Amino acid sequence: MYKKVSLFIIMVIIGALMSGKVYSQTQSKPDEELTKEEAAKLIQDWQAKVNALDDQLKNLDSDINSLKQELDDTKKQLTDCNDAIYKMLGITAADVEAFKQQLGIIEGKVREYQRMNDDMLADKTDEIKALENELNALRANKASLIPEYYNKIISLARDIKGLYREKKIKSYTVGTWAKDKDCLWNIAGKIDIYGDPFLWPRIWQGNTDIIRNPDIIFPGQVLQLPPKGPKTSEEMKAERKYWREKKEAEANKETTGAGKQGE
Amino acid sequence: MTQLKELRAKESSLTEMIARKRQEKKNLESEVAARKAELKKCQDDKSFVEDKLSKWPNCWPDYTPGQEVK
Repeated sequence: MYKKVSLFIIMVIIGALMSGKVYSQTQSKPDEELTKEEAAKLIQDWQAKVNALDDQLKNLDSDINSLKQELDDTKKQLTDCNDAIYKMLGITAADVEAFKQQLGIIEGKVREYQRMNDDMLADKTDEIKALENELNALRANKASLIPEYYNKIISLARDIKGLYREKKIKSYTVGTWAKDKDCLWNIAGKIDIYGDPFLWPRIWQGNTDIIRNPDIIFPGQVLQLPPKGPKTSEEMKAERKYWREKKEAEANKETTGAGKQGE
Repeated sequence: MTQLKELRAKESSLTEMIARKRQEKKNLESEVAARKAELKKCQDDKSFVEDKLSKWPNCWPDYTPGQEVK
């Protein structure tokens, strides 16, 4: 049974191969060698092929024409839409161009400031304020409502706000007690220094080379001012030691005083 | 034989033309898609402008008009 089936399959394959060979022989035969019937058949095949291609071309032409029409319509709608926006805002394309340039100038300045370091920025505070006012003045122009510019203005305003730096005082020359009431407590409490007298150990620890006893500083001494911030563990340790020693000294003083009185 | 020759030539020219037209169609399709996207953006922009204009001049989330930085 299996043998019969296998034989049948082999015969079918051979048959298929033979018919292919015959077909290809007709196709590859030079035109001059074709019989009348073969030539007629070939002409018929080619004509069908050409007709199919012709139809395909016609369909493509029709699609292209529809697309061209669609493109024209879309372009028209786009122009109308842009005109409608300008009309709503009461501006012209030239106004928008001028606005874009003004915004570009401000953006250029912002980028320039962003490349500066903190000290340089601290010196330019007034110019940065002027730039912020310049940007805010642009908000009064209705062209600023075009989303592209509206979002840019908000982003630039954020960038400008980030440019402000406080002037840092890096050193302080001690004045006299009579005139300035300068001691570490008072110096740390000055608004333009730390604005917090409790930060006096910070100045002390930043100047241990010239301050041995934090209760004693001299007029004319130039103190280095570390940046403002919470006290470090070293500073807190030094402060505790200071208060402990002060307490002990006072206790000793009292004991000595009481002893002397007793004598 | 002449007819066969002509048909072969026509087939070749049609195939070439179809390839060109297919490319043209493809280009047009992408241009239409791009313009449609632009149109969609313009319509969104228009709605945005309408909304902000209805609140003008207090249409800024980060700024009150007339406020000068001192």
